[in-house]
Amino acid sequence: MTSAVGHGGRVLLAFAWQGARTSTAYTTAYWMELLNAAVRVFAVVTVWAVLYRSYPQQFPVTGGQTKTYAAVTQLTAVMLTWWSGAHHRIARQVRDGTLYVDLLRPVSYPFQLLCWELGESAARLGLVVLPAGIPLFVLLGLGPPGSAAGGLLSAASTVLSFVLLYECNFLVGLVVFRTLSLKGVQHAYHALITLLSGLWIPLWLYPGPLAAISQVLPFRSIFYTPAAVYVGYLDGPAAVRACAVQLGWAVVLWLGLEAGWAGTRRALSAQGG
Amino acid sequence: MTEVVVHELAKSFRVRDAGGRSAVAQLVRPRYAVKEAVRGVSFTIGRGEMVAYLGPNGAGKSTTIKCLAGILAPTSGTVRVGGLTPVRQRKELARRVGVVFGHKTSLWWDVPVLDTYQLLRRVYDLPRARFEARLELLRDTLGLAEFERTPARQLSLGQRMRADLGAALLHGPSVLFLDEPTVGLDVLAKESLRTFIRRTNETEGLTVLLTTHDMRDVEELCQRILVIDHGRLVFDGTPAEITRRWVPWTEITLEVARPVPPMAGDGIEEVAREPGRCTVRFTRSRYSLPEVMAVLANHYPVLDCRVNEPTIEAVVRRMYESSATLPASRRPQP
Amino acid sequence: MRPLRGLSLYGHYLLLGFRSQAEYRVDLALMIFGVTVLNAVDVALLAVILTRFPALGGWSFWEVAFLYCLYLAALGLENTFLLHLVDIDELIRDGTLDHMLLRPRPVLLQMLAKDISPRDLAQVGLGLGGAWYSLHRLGLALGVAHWALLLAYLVAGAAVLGGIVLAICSVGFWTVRSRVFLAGTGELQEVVQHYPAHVFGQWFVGLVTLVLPFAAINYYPAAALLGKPTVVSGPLLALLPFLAAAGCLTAGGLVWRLGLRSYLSTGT
Repeated sequence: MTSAVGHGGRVLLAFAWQGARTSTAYTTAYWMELLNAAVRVFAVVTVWAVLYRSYPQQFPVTGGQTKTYAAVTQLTAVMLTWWSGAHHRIARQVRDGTLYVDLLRPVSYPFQLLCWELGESAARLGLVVLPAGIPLFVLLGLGPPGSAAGGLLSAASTVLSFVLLYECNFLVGLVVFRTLSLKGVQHAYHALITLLSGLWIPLWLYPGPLAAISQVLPFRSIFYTPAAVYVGYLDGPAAVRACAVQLGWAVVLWLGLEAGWAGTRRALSAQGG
Repeated sequence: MTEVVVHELAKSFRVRDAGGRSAVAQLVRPRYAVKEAVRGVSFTIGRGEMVAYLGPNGAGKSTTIKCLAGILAPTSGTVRVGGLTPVRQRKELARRVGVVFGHKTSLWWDVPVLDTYQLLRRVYDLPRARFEARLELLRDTLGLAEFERTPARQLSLGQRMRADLGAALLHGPSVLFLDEPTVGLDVLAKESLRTFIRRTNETEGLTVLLTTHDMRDVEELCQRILVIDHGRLVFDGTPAEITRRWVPWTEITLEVARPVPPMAGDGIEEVAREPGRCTVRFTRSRYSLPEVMAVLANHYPVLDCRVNEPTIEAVVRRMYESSATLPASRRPQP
Repeated sequence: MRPLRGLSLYGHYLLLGFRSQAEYRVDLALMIFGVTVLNAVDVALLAVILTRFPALGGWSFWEVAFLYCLYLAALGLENTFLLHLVDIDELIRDGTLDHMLLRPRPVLLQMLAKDISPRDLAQVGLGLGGAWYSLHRLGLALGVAHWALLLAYLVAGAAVLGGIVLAICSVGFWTVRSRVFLAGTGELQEVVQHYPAHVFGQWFVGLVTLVLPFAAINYYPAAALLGKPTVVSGPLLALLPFLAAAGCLTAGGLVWRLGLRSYLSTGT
């Protein structure tokens, strides 16, 4: 058991190292990523600041919380690179045939991909999110977590966000095995996340029907939950409940992922490619 | 009549050089090194000559070809092709030369070969009648007819190379540069390509400079060999001369009746032995073949013998191997 | 005569490009679907914001939607005809540029003529349709002259983008990967497309007017057509997009020439 865990850990580390290497392989690409992250956080925070100044009565939270929510969601998005996650890697690997190399490894494919993505996200956290985020937080006068407990819970919630997003991406990626291409599906999927995850607009501002739809789907757990917990909008039992919902979705989707992958593997071995 | 003049051609590049530094250091302050791909190469090629341009990977072959084709400007030195200065007179030059890169097709990937040719007709302003005549000729000699309506991506590698060669010759250039034209082809495809090149050279007086790793290309096509190594020209001469210079010995395999002690003399030595068989090497400048046979017959109980003339392949392999500073991994395996 | 010949050659290149694309019809339909969905979601998000908040920086929802749609249409127009500018680094890497240099024609022509992108034409339609609907909701009926001006702004906007893209991507001649520089302006473009520039302060307006004039694509044209105040006004406001277009095309052409010359002397 311990050796299995040790093995898993070593695989994880190896992939994380690879991820860091990939992120920094191109100097200019790295700097541009940093620049983009900064521009994006600045712009979104500014828009919300302007809106708050004009219509403070429309917000159930303070101006500081509004701005911080915007910054946290955008930085989380940069860390998770949700628009080019596991589904794109699967599509690429199916297209250029390198998938079979990964299938030959003595580690399950979903786990390998998870490690890979985790490695990249960890690298991005250290190399992009923190270097861009810390100065921005200072410059824009953004706040620390609502409370120490909220901060810790928000960190745990971000890890769950990562897992959830990975699972969603992987499930979308499985479509590639049927269609050989992500085109079309990818846009619909990205539209869902854009609209229902709370990435751009705090869900507490959503009109009734849209808010109701977002309630029953897993996407809100990806960006809304950790940020809402961070700023303290979700507090105490409500925060714990939101994280429990995240965990629930993570488990359900993992089962779905395993089932989906098993089916795909069967189909792959039946037709031999 | 010279077609190609290369004088003291040098070309250097700036390359990224991490030099074992950390990724972060390279992020903050990238470091570069200068790589001299070609350093002071000179040669001329006469009209209608077919010349092989050989050298290990990274020796500077492709760089030279690019300088000749007008894709790269020399760092120093001069290059003239058909009296033109390649980069400065790029468009005029383009009408006079054809180029084929074996690793990368020039065909439009998704459309039939004929459509590519039709476009090239307009690119090169070929009168329709001339184009049709040319196409007819290429159909005959390259066997284009069987696949001219097939999209390039569905062609076999051999067909693709033929189509690429056709595309390079469509406008009737007087010089043809071939960068590894036979790479990856099967024996038959190579053979038909060579036949075509040879025939075009004979009928049109086409000047050909080709780089290759297949020595059969050299043996069957070229009267002259240039060898470049580490950016310098190390040989310019005929196939016979290259053999004389780099493999000054000849090997003889003897069938022997019974084992005898190996011979180790001045200019003659045994280099390999199997049961009933010995291979002996002698220096050609010291002995003539009859002399050697006499000496060998004295020492060995010879039943039969075979003289192994060095092939160009072996010569070149030896040449690359003796290039001392070459990294080990780059050396062709014997 | 020569420009005409160039145009006919362009036409033939495009024909070949079109035939190549015909092989991927299904993809095309999916892509159009995708572009529509993504933009619809973007506008929906703006709608969520502006139903709750009547205005952003003094611009109402339909004014912001108009702003957004102008950018979308100009971007579509630029991508339709100048799509392959962003491929400069790719063409260098995979050796296609070398093949282009071997042909007796201007390299830029060969590159632009690779094909046009009908998917992006759909984006132009989407942008124009959205702009028309926004005007309708604003209760503004533009006359023929104003529509002509709007279309001229669109072309100018496409030229501004094209010039900037050409300048930035030509950096690929020096650095192998130029797309990242363009990507570096990605968020800036998103911001200009979505929100009136003055919301972010005067320095930001200066940046997207004088340094990277993305604001000339939608902000100034929208302000001119809708009669919104900006830092400039009067004839200068009306002409600004055209001035920016001329400036960007000149800059783009210049960097391209320098880049090609550098490529010829250094290769990759």
